Amino acid sequence: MQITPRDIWNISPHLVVAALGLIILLIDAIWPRISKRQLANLALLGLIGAGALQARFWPRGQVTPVLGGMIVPDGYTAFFNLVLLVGAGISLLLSTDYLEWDGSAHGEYHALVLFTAFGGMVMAAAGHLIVVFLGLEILSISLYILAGYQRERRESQEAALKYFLLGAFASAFFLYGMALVYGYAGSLDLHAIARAAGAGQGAAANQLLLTGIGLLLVGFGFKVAVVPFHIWTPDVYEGAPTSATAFMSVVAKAAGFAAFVRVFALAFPGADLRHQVGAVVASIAMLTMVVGNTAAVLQTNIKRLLAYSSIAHAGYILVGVVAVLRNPAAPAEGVSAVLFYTLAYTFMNLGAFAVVLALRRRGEELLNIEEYAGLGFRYPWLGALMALFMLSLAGMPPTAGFFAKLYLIRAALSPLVGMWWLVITLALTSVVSFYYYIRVVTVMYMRPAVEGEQAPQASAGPHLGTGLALAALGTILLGLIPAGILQAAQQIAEGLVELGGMALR
Amino acid sequence: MVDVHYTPIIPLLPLVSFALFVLGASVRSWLGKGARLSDQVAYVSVALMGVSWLLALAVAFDVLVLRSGQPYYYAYPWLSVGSVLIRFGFMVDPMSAVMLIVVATVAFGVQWYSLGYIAGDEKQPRFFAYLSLFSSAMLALVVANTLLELFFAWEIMGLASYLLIGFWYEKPAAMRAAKKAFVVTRVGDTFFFIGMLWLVLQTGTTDFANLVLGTAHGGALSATGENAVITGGPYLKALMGTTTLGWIALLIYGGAVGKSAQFPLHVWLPDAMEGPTPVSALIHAATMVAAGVYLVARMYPIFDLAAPLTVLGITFRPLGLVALVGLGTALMAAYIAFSQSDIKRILAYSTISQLGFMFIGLGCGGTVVGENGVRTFLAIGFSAAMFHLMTHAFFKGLLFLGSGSVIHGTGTQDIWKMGGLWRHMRWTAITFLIGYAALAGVAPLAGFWSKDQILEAAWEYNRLIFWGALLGAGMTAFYMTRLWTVAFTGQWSGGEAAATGHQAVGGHGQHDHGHGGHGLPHESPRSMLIPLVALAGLAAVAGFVGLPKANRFGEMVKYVPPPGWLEPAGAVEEHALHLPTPLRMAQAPGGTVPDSPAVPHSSPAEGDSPRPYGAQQLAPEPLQGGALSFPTEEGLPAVGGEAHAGAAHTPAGHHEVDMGLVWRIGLLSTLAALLGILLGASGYRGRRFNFRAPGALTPMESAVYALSLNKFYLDEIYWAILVTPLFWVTRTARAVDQAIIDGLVNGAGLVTRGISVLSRLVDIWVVDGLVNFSGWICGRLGQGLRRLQTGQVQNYVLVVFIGVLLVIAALVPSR
Amino acid sequence: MNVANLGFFLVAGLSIVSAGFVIFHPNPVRSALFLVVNFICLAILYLTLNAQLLAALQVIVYAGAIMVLFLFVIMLLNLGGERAREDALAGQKFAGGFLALVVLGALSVGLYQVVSAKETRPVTDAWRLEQMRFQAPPGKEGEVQIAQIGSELFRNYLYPFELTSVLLLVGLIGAVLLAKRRLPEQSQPEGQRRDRP
Repeated sequence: MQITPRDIWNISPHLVVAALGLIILLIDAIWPRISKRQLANLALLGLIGAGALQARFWPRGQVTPVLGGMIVPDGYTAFFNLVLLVGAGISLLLSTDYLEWDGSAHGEYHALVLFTAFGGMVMAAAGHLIVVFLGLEILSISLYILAGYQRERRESQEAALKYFLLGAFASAFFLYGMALVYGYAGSLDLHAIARAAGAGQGAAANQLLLTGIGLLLVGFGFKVAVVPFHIWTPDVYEGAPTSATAFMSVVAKAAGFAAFVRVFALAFPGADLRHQVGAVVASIAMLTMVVGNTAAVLQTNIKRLLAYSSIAHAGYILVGVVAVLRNPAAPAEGVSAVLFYTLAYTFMNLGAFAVVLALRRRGEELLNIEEYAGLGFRYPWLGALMALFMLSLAGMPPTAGFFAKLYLIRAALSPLVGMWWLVITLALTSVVSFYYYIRVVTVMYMRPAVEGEQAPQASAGPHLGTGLALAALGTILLGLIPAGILQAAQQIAEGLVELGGMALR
Repeated sequence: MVDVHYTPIIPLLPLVSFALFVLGASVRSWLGKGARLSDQVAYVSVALMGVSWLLALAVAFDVLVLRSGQPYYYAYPWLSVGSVLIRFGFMVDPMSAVMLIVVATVAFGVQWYSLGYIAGDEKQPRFFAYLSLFSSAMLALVVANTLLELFFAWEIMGLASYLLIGFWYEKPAAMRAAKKAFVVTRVGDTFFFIGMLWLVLQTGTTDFANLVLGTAHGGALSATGENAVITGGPYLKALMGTTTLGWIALLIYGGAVGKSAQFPLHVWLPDAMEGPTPVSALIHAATMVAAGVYLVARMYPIFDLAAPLTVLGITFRPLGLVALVGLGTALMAAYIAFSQSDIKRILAYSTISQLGFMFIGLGCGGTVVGENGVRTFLAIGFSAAMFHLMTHAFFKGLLFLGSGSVIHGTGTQDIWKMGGLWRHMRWTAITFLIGYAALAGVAPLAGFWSKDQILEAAWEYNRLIFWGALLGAGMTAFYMTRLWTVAFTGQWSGGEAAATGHQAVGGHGQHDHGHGGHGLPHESPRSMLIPLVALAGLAAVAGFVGLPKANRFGEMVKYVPPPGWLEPAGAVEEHALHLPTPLRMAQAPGGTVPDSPAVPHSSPAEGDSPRPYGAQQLAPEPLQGGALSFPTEEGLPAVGGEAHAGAAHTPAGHHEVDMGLVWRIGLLSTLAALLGILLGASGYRGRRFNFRAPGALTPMESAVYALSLNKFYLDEIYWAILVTPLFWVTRTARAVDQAIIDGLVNGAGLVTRGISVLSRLVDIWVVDGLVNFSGWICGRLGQGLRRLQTGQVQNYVLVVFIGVLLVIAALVPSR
Repeated sequence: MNVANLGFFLVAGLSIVSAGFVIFHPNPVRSALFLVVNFICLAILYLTLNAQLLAALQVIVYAGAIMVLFLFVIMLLNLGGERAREDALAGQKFAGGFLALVVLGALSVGLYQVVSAKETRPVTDAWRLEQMRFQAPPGKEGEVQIAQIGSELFRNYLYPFELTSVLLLVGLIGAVLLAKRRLPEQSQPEGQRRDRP
């Protein structure tokens, strides 16, 4: 295999992001006194550049894999890479003020954010399980470090350690799963696995393959935080620096689901097999929705609340995955639902965290939900935006969250999926979710504000303000005019399905 | 000339005032504390609402009169998913037009009224902003052209309602009530949402033009106007007569149950009275709660064209369930209203009860399958319900505004602390009296006509429901009389100050108006009275648009089943009705006669050429030559002049106005109302039934008082009705008689009260209990999960490990 | 049972025993040394599988470099015997051990079934190709294998190979960031956060 300029062009967005991380590290080392804001600006510029490069592949991209089958620069890759770039960009915007206030603005933070995004992009683009694994590890290790970034806070250290230990545990399972799948198929290339699993008569009854798939499921499940592999989430979300929490909540989820859906949609054809895997995924989805939503009801800390909410959302997205697996006639519907949901979730969740990041009280972060009392009137814009994000997360029209849920349910309602109880669970648990999301709104708008020394302070610099505005814009626009993105998602999903068809030929 | 093309502006104007508020608030926060937006926001809001109201009237006039019922439809592509194209746009058909009038009028009146009501409150701008948001959403709901758009407005409306209930958040009860209302209605909305999605999956569209209006052009009604009547659109054809449609209908009905406070989701509405009174008038009486009725009416073909469903061996048609639940709700709520002492709660239960009546009307319309499989169509139910919705909006809005005025003037919400208001608040009392009479069903007022139509529909559908509804009508009269008698007649009992023997009912009222220490009640400011008077006028005369002999309302707002539905093609076999539609279509000879719409159909009443849903395709594109078998201008009755003759001969139901029946029902309902009024008046005159204050009178005094009371009323009426067996008792035994009568009356009162308390208890313990129980379960579950979250990484590893095992065990088949 | 088989069982048994000691030995230094034994056993197993390069790498990288690092850290931290830790959940250790046994049993049963069943594995082109790739041609076995691995690594697997470099870099950043002391002379931007120790 020769590496051609075309290959390089195809992976250029990845290269830009990785190179940018290196450059920032270097600049920071050479001029330690450089303003970290400038570094953030540089990183943003680079992300925009990478985005522009990536946008060239929108929405169909190139279906044939490059670099020896390692990377597939198709529309699916383009979509998730853009989601990741947007997520990383907004996260950077959100983090500068916070880090300065925290006194921990170092260049490494920005570099790590970029490397995380790079890892996620690799995962999304991977056409080979080795690449998935490496991307996963780059993403994970960067996130472990980001979680422990505030070295002087014990909670942060604890979060990093927990995340690392459990993450290593999950990675081991993932690796073991890869080994078993290799044992079955003789290759880790997704197309080759698909051919093997498609050709083998008893793929649906082969313990080796099934165990391998199960362990892969565990690995992905850990990354996207589904029950029972979610157990790290609340502690890590709470302990990690808030800006890093915001970042990991969206980027890990997007990257995890990107690889998850691609691997499971592509590598394991065969209706029986998919049906079987789909049933297990459905049980996990149900469990995740129930546990995430019910546990969130009792939380008093906004970061923990958002942690459980992110678990619940992972459950919702899994419903889309079930629709992919169990609807052989139109898997594209499920794929496009997952795509749209991920994008919507990126905007609304980052937005919610942005509001949290903007608030302080007496030199501390404002994390107790009760302390949000009267915020809606003290800071009308922040309050209104927080309400917007909460309602969007809950799935109220006319916000992004509504359409996201609409398409998920639509995909899952197809009679071929045959899982009406899953849809019922989704519906009922989202009623429960209204309870805790609306609680935040209630506290903000229906409690008298605290005045004086104890009053919360809000500060939104230009960076944070921009990030907040972008998140709000995304949340509103996806709720009002989702047509363009939906059509693109549909096309992309069809491209992926087509790719799956090619794999079998 | 203002015509229908101004429709989009109607919901937009209130939205503008909401946006102004949000911008204004942020400007304020920039400028600092000193610069406060004062009343200007309120005036702007009222002015914009006024313009919106005028536009609504103009649009409605255009649709109803100038276009003689031709709908206005305008839409542009909004989003498409796969093959489903959803258009964003506006539709005004006669039903929407009526709703526009109702909503805009009440909203405008309430906003005007609020100028006086909320004056001086520092949160006044916010109040008007929320009101505007609500009005905007409700108006958008009414003119929505797709179910999805309706759902959007529906949810925003719920949000605004939530904000307004919790407006006085200093009261913990208000906060709780707001949250309760939001979450409880969400339960219904979730069913609605799923039903909508299912419908989309089945039909590929959410457009009303496709789903419910019988139009030639499935996609869009042209602006020039095509005759389109609620009849079940072309996209529904494949689903007609299936149980799928029935389930979809029930899911959608779930949304209506939540929003319109039907049993068992009615629990939020009484609590919602914690909100400011104008809010209760606008949202929780006149408009939003009626949105559920509107939803069912909008989706009526889906309810009607479904096959009967069988659950647990019981077969019922979806509309029958709607009627039954409506009846149960109506009676239950009326019972509860008997024992309430908070003026707003009485009205709230009354609202629930009246909403039940509307659902009875809806449920008693549509198609009924007889024993022999022949379908008969009951025409009045649908328009009767919408008619009642309209009149109810006026008189209930009036009653709530009146109660607001009373609360404003007295500083209390407890009717037992009022009394004699007739003397102190003359204008309020007069208008309240009109509202009360209209609600009670006194003859020429609005409520009488609409209630009679519902009773008529019930009579045609099911006698049991009819008698139940009649009983409900009597009960309505009774509790309203009780309210009126206690609060407005007699002596002023001193307001909050005179709390001797009376317990304050949960401490309402402190907030509903600032000044607590009242002397004598005083009349409210003029800005509050003008809307009262206007609404009173409407409550008095609105019924005349629906007189039995000249039912202008029913001509415009009606539902007609699609032709061919009533007379299935081919021989009417017993099971033909249950065949899937394609089979029935195969039997149909029709669809091959391409006659132009200009050629009048042969009279459908003669039963020939039933024009079934022939072998047409489900093509949404315009069909040439009028091969379409949907009702066209000629085939349809009721639009325009000779509507009445048409109505008598429509294939859609041989409903002729049977004046004898109308008279009989009118008489019966008047009797029921009269009975209720007299019972109430006699019972509460002088507050005899004040069981709440057992120590207020000594037994001796009480007996003397009771005796004197009986002389006045029960002598003549109850004696005759209740005590006929005792008629022959001698004159000397009269005192004994009186005692017995007394006992009977008191006993009846006690029993009634007992039942009412019981149903209130059921309400609290069973329904609330269920709600609380599910909350408790969630809490326990959460606590259990919390215990799992120990913070110990070793435990976490163990959990992950077990998870791995479970996944593998679930995935790998054991051999 | 021929000699090769005997050798296999000996080495395999030794590796399992040593692995057990790694876990259960209370003294960390001994534990680490048992790990070395385990690594060497694995290297021998690789050799018997005709994977000389892998065996060499195993010895050099794991038994050599990484183990030295391990021992270094253990000595540096001066870890004595393992302190008994009181767990929040009593009996968790046993639960964990039990579960581990269950997983082990499940996996080995599964593997045994797969290995014993002849034709459950689909024979595809990819599978054959993959087999052929690492099938050393007769003759100079070792050299060809190294060359093949090299060419695979720098051709088809070039991108993953480069990815590992990024991975290592990230790890490096993490080590530096989390372990370095804050230098007093370095002008840190002082934040306004007040809730720090």
